[in-house]
Order: sequence, then structure tokens, then C-alpha cells
Amino acid sequence: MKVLYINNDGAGFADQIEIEAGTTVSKLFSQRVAGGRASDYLIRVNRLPAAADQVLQDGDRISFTPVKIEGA
Amino acid sequence: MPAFNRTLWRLAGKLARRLALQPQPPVSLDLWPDSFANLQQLATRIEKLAGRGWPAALQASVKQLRTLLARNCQHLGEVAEILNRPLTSDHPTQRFLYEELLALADDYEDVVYDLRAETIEVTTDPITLEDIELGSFRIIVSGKDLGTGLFEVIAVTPNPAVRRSDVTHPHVLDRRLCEGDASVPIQNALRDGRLGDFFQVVQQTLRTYNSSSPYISLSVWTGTNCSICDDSISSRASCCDRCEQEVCDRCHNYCSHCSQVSCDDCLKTCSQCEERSCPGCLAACPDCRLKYCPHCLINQLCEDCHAARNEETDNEQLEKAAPLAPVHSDSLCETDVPAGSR
Repeated sequence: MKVLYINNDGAGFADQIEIEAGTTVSKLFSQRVAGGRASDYLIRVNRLPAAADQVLQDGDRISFTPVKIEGA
Repeated sequence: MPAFNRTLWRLAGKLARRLALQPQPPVSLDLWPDSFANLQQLATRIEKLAGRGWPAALQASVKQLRTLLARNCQHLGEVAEILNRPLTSDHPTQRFLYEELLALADDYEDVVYDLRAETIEVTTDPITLEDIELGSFRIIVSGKDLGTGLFEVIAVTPNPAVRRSDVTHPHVLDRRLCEGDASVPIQNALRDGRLGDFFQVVQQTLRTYNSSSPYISLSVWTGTNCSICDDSISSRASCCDRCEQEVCDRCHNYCSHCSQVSCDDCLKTCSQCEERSCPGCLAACPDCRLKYCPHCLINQLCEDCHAARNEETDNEQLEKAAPLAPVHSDSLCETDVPAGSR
């Protein structure tokens, strides 16, 4: 199934990605943000804050935004 | 399901039309062909060196090739990463933008839309960085600027740095956020019409303090203490050109010769006229070793030493001028020389 994955860290892009059915928010996080800690990110599914064990559905929109972003 | 909001729908339409006019962002896929040519050249060289059995030269070339390979591998990885991302993006639809606008009300208590000006404005919660209360900030973006990535950050109840009223946040100068790491996510969010992400990224940037490159450091936000008398400096401080310490009006001074700003500690007194000068303008008299300002030195000597040397010179000249012994010449080539001098 496909979800819209938005990474607001670094390159900050949005892309449709293919994921396995039953993928949870925490599983996708560990796949996509290697070495990152979930507590360092604001994680939203369909624009709403999400729980780590929330199972993603086809067509969902999931975004990871770092809690700390350094200005210059 | 919220009730249909006609104004927001129209605003979303305007924004969608604006974004539809934006060109696709450029894609750069430079594979460093010159660098790969160098790699091949180096590899050929190693093959030849191995055949000739020159271990020292071979070892140096292998090391060089390893370094180049590592650099090229890293670069290829970065190019592959670009390919993992979408190279083109669809322009957001009116419905998408409408949903984005509607969702802002869930995230922010104060959201203002202006259909005519095509602006969207949200107000953050009060922000405190390192115990300094900076207050709330209004983040304003206009549909006209979505393509340029311009937006404004305005302090609602400003608590600017003591020294600069236009710096209302360590990373905001004259209503502009110096985006740093947020730059690309902000540009991409605006280009994609992801208004919620845009406001969230800006808000998180405002909530973060990067001590390595603020406009004004939080450590001197409310002023600083004079490095000499330790009194609080509430107005603009002076910085000593020599020791770079900040000093108050009472403790800062100027070198009377080069006009450099100096703190009282860095100014020294001329041993003769007693004027205060920076150490760079004072020079030591080579004879007495005391320090003098340029006005009090004569031919690099202080007045006393100069006079003493003049006196010595005068005496020497007098001694030279006085005859030491009579000299009688019997012929052009012969002179009487006292016994024992040969």
C-alpha cells in the first residue's frame, strides 16, 4: 500500500512510498530515520499527532518534523 | 467534519493558482566525470608500479586511490539519495490547500486569513529560550511569496536584544528568520503547499537556539557586565580593540595617537608626557628601556637618552679634534711612529 511520507528533516521532501500492510508509525520511523529517536520528532498522521503503535492505512499522510531545528 | 468555509476555499483557489505558475525546482545530478578520469589514471599507474616492483611509490599511490575512491563513493551515495526523492512534484490542488488551511486552526489558537492580501498568519505560543522570554511570534506568509519562500516573523510582545531593537529573536533580524537547517524544508513545504509543515518547521526553528551563529547571543541579550568595573552595561557597549572585552562608557577610552578603542587596562602611560596610549603606539627606548609615545621619542630615543648620546658624541668629536701626538714628516712617504707600535 502507499502512504505520503513527509520528511521535514534535512532535505525536507514529500514522497509517495510503498509500505507493507500493518506497518506501524514506529516501524516506519526506524526504517526511514536511521539512528533517530522518535522523541526528537513531531510525528503526525493525517495532520494529527500519532501514537507509536498506530497502524498506517493506505493513503495516509505521515510527517516527521524534528523538534529542534537550528536557525543560523 | 468542519462546516464548509467559503472564504478559505476561495483563498485556497488563489494559492493553488499561484503555485501552478511556479516552475519545477532544478535537479542537479553531477557525477564528477573528471574525478572518475583521475581514478582511472591512478589505477593504471598502480598497475604499472606493481609490475615494476616499486613498493614505496606503490604504497603512496594506493593510499591516494583509497582516499579518492572513498570521496567518490560518498558523492555517488549523495546522488543516489537525490534519486530516491521525487524529482518533480505535482502542483497542489485547491482541495489540498483548503484542507491545509482548515487544519491550521487545530494547531494554532490564533490563525488569521486575509483573502484580499492572500496572507495567512499564525501566532506561536510564547517562546522562552535559556530562561529569556521572547514572547509569541506571528508568522506571516503571502500567496504572492510562496514561490520565493519569503515570509515574516514578527514578535507580538517584543523583548529584543538590549543592543539591537531589530533583533527580536537570536535568529530573527528585521522580521526575517535566518533559516539555517530549516531552509530546504521551508522552501519545499511552501512549494508543495504544505502550509501546516511550513508553519511547524518555522515554529520549531524559533523554539531552537543555535548558540554558534545567533545575531545576538542570548548570553548578552539583556546586556552584559563591564569587564573592568563589573557594572551592568545596559546600553551599547564598547569593545576594546586589543583585548576584545566589552567595557562600559566609564572604562573605555581611546589611544591618544591611533584613536583605537581601548579599555583602561590596555592603555599604558607614556613615561614622559604621561598620555594614555595603546601598547602598539608605545615603544621602548633602547637605552633606558622605558616606554614612550611617538611624540616623546627622538630618533627612537627618549629625550634624556637622546641628550646623553648627543653629549657623548660631542665629547668624542672634541677628543678627535684635539691632537694626540706630534707627527713629523720627513718626506712624503715616511712618518715617525712611536716605538713599540709595530
